[in-house]
Amino acid sequence: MGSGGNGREGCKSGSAVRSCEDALSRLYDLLDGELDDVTGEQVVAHFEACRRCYPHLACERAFKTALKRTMEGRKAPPELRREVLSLLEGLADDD
Amino acid sequence: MKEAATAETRFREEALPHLDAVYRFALRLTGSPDRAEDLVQETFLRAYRHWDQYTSGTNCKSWLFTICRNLFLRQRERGQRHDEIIQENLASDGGIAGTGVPLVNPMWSDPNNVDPEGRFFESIIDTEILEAIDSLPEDYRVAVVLSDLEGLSYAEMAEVMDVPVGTVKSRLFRGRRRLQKQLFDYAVESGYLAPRGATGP
Repeated sequence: MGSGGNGREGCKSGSAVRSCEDALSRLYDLLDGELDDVTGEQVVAHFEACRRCYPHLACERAFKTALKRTMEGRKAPPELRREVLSLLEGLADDD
Repeated sequence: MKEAATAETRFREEALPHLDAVYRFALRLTGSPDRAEDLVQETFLRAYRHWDQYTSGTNCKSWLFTICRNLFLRQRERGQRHDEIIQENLASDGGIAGTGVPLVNPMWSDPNNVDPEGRFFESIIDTEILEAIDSLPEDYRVAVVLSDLEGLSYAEMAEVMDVPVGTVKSRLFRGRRRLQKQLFDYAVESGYLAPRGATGP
């Protein structure tokens, strides 16, 4: 299946970050919280020290933050909540 | 009788807290508040009916999202909404996770980048971002929604989307790049950002 095969999905290799390409290839794993602490620290360390790579971390982070922000405080409409609750009560009565 | 009361109590305690999240997901799937509400009701109905299939204390949110998505797909098969089908080419042509998407995002590596912190994302209003997300092809949209809006892990996403983690990552990377490009272009059009390579007035 080539180098993109399923065996590497764990992202928990813990191997040192040896190059910009290394760090960049793990940027999303880092931002998505998929790296173990040790590897995560190593990846962050590279971005903070590398002038060329830093904008990638900063911009992708800003991007994720902006997306997350769109959902802040968004809840189901109150009448939907009531409807679901009464649905459940109806079902529970049938049990 | 007592057993049923306990099951209902557990359902309220474990499943109901995810109502808001399921609604948000349903909204991005259906694109319509009315259809989202229907989908949410059906999801919780089905979840309650199949509550015995859920192991208490495991991942209820993922379980509910999976039910929601499966119901949506079944509705869609009945012809309610069609989206473009993405040709998934997972051949290893380099880039991120073998997607062929270049590792180095040209948007951030432009030497003329006057916004190395990505501040322009703060200027884009939520409705614009959501419109851009809603315009993504469905497979990419679902990935972005589950990860960036709802914070699911890759493993959770694989369960909800019923694909391997490699596919999750591939769709996520492609979806995000497409979205970023759209938002970037929008920011340039709206004057939040100078066009790339611009050298002055």
